[in-house]
Amino acid sequence: MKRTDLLRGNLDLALLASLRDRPLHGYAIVQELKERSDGEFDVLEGTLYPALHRIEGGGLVKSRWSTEGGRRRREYELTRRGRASLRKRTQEWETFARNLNLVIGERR
Amino acid sequence: MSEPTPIETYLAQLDEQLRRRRLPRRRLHDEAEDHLRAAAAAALSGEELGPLEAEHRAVAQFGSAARVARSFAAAWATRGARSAVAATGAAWIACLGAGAALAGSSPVLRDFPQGVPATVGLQIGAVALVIACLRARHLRGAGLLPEDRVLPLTVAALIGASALLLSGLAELTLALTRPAGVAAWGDDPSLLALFAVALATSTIAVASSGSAFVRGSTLDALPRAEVDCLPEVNETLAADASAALPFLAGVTQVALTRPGRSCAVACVVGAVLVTALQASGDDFAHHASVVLGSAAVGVFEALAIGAGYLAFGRALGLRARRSRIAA
Repeated sequence: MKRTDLLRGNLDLALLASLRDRPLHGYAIVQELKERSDGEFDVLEGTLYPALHRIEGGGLVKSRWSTEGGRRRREYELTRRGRASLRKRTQEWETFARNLNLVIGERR
Repeated sequence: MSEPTPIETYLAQLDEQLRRRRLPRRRLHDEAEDHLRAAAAAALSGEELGPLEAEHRAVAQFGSAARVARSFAAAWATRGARSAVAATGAAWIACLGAGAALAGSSPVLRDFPQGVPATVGLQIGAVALVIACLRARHLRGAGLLPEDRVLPLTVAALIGASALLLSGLAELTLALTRPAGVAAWGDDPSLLALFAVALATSTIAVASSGSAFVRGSTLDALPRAEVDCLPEVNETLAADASAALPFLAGVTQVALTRPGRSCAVACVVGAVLVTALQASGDDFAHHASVVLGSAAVGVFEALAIGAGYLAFGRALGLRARRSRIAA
């Protein structure tokens, strides 16, 4: 399985995590994902926006227009519900990864 | 007139793709433009590319306009489905409140057949809503609704909301045409207010579900071979029901693999329960005429369940489509 496929299955978690520390606009979110993953998460950037709109519809993030350097940009920010979801998903992922590591370890 | 730049060409393609799918364009267009210009500026300064090459690079990394529009259509359909379930649920609760108030009102106001459309509408609405909620388990935590669930969910919500609205309108028509007429209803303003709320929420639910259905329909058709491999609507319902209610997995599997028998059982149970309820509420339950009258209402209930199953069973996924049965 490609790394991008793995990311696609966990895209919501990655997007929420990228917004953990501060509000970001779409391009900055992509850069954050690339930086945090040492360039491994190299997805088609345009497909992140529909995902952002969807999780906004689910109440996990909120967004607003801002002006930066004369350019109008949409900034995304975690909501309280989004933070709770991020905590829960992170715990679930850690449990899953730990258990998978145990399985992989037994097979070595 | 100068040639359009790669970014301008791309934005025009994206607009066209969004327009063809009847999706809102303004916000995604503005976000895409900001993103592409930022990416091109970064490529221009960081990688010593020329302006045209930098724009080409930014566009290539963004993904084809068709693909972005398709992702957006799926996300938009998911948002629509979420709203449809919420609106139908709210309408059902409002209709239940109005129905309960009608049941507790004076005999003049609930003169037979008043209350019958509401009872039938609430039952169809309840079944459709339960099915929509089973499908909606994919929406937990802002999840993306799988494409093969979008239309079944919106159809269930639309059937439920339409049943509630039609039953409300039927009750209104009955109320206005009874001998007591509007004057008697005017004596109970709280009941009128509850019916107004029920009708308003049902109308909103129909609009929301209809809009969600249209959004779901705009998702691209998959290549024919893949469509043939998609699971049947009732198969996906069985999977969703088992996943949502694991402790009832066996029961739901049996119920959905033998839908005709399950419907027959539901008819019998419905008839017995309604007959018992009718008779138990009457002071003369030992009289043959009361028992017969109650049994007649019970039979009507069984017929309503059967008719509802025949009318909406396939659309709701309770039974397989005709083509699958023939195969």
